[in-house]
Amino acid sequence: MTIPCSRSWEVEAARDGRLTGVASESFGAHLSVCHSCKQVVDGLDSLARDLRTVDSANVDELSLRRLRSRVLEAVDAEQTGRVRIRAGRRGLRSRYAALALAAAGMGLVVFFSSRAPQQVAPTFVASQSAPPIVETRVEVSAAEGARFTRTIDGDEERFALLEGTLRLRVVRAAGGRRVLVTVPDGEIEDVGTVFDVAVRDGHTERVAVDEGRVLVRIAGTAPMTIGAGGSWDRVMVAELQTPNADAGAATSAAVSVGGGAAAPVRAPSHQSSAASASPLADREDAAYLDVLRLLQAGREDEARAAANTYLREFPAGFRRKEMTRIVRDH
Amino acid sequence: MRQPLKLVPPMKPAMDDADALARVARGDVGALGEVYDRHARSLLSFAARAVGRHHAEDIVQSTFVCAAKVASTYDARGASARSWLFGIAARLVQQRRRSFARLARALLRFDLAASSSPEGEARNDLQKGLLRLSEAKRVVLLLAEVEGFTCEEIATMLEIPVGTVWTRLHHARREMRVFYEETR
Repeated sequence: MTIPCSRSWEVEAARDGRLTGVASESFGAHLSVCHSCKQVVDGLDSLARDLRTVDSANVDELSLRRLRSRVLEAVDAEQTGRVRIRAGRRGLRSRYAALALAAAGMGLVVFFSSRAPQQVAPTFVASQSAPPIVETRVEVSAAEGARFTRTIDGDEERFALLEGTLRLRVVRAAGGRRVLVTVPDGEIEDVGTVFDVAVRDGHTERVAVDEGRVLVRIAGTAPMTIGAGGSWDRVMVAELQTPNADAGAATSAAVSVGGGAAAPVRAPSHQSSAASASPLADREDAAYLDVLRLLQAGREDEARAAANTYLREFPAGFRRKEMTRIVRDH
Repeated sequence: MRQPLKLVPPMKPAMDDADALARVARGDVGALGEVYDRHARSLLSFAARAVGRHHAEDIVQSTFVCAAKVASTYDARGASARSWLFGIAARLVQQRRRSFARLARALLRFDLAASSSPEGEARNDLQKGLLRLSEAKRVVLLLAEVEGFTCEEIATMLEIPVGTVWTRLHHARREMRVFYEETR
């Protein structure tokens, strides 16, 4: 049994930087010959080593990337909120002016609505410089040239997209109103999410979901639910429906409809959340992680090339925006 | 002797952090992404050890949201961005733990605490030992022994006297030693 050394208290003192100069040198010399103090040092080193191996601290790359999106979104939302608050603190004069304008506007609305036989929702045409329209519950960003109408009727808010691409971010409290995007050949119902809808020549081209999920009802296809990271693409559907396409692959996915009952669907080229465990999803994850590894290793040219490959192979991939940014910025 | 550990070396010079935080202060959210990429992994590991994996992401998210709010107060001539961020995270851990302690006391009355206690998350004995420490001691122990910060740096981050750091560290090590002896 080792007899405790009277100087063993100095182990922690030296470790924590409390010993300096002569005292530190003296203890260093003592440590080289004192078995008891060496044991205390070893014990503390062992504790530090063990603490670093606590298994819950292992962090995987995908969790980090998901968290990154959440962080940036939260900060973005905070900053948007602050801008709104600042805007609300302008002087009384500007408030009165705004009130007067609002009253005049309401007067005009009442005047024209009494003359018009039927209320028609205005059609918006987005220009490059148009800022996103922001309301309490729904934020809409329209691509240049997009044409759409927006109407609120009781507990339902409806966007009729005639042409172009709309991006919607819907924040809905429980019991909040329904949000629907009607397209020439169907409709998309939001279930609390962020998603893009593109229409061209009277047909829905693409629905891509970043967060949450949406219910998609397009003429000629079975209703489907698309979850976060999933998308539905008309071109891909057409390719899979050709006789040469792999019928097994085309019918392998199942999507939930309405209340959530799963139903097999012919030609499900969308990448629903239900299909996220497919080999395709695995390959996409692997391609994505490959890009990250290259970036972390500082091999930016190779990372850019790998990101390009990702975009080519997975044009509707979950990380397409991030990959596009890497190609553009690195 | 223990050498300060630098488990995750910064990928870019410290000036980049200062520059990025200055841009964050001007409202550039993308710059926060750069700061995140450099420090999130080590912050997440720290938070996971301190409060368990389940709550770690909340701590890290709150850390960066808070950092974005107070980015204009960051002074590159003082602490490194890493220790500045760890300081925010450490204080959030302590605040969260205080809130949790209040909640746990309330839940105990209804005999529900067992299912929601951080003890339930403990995956090994060592983590149980860690969770038995008070949050103040645990944070100091992790910052010193795992993250490699000096006692002076920890004192600055937590805005406490360095003597308090030494005391908490000493007690934390002693309690961990006792825990080891009990379990082995």
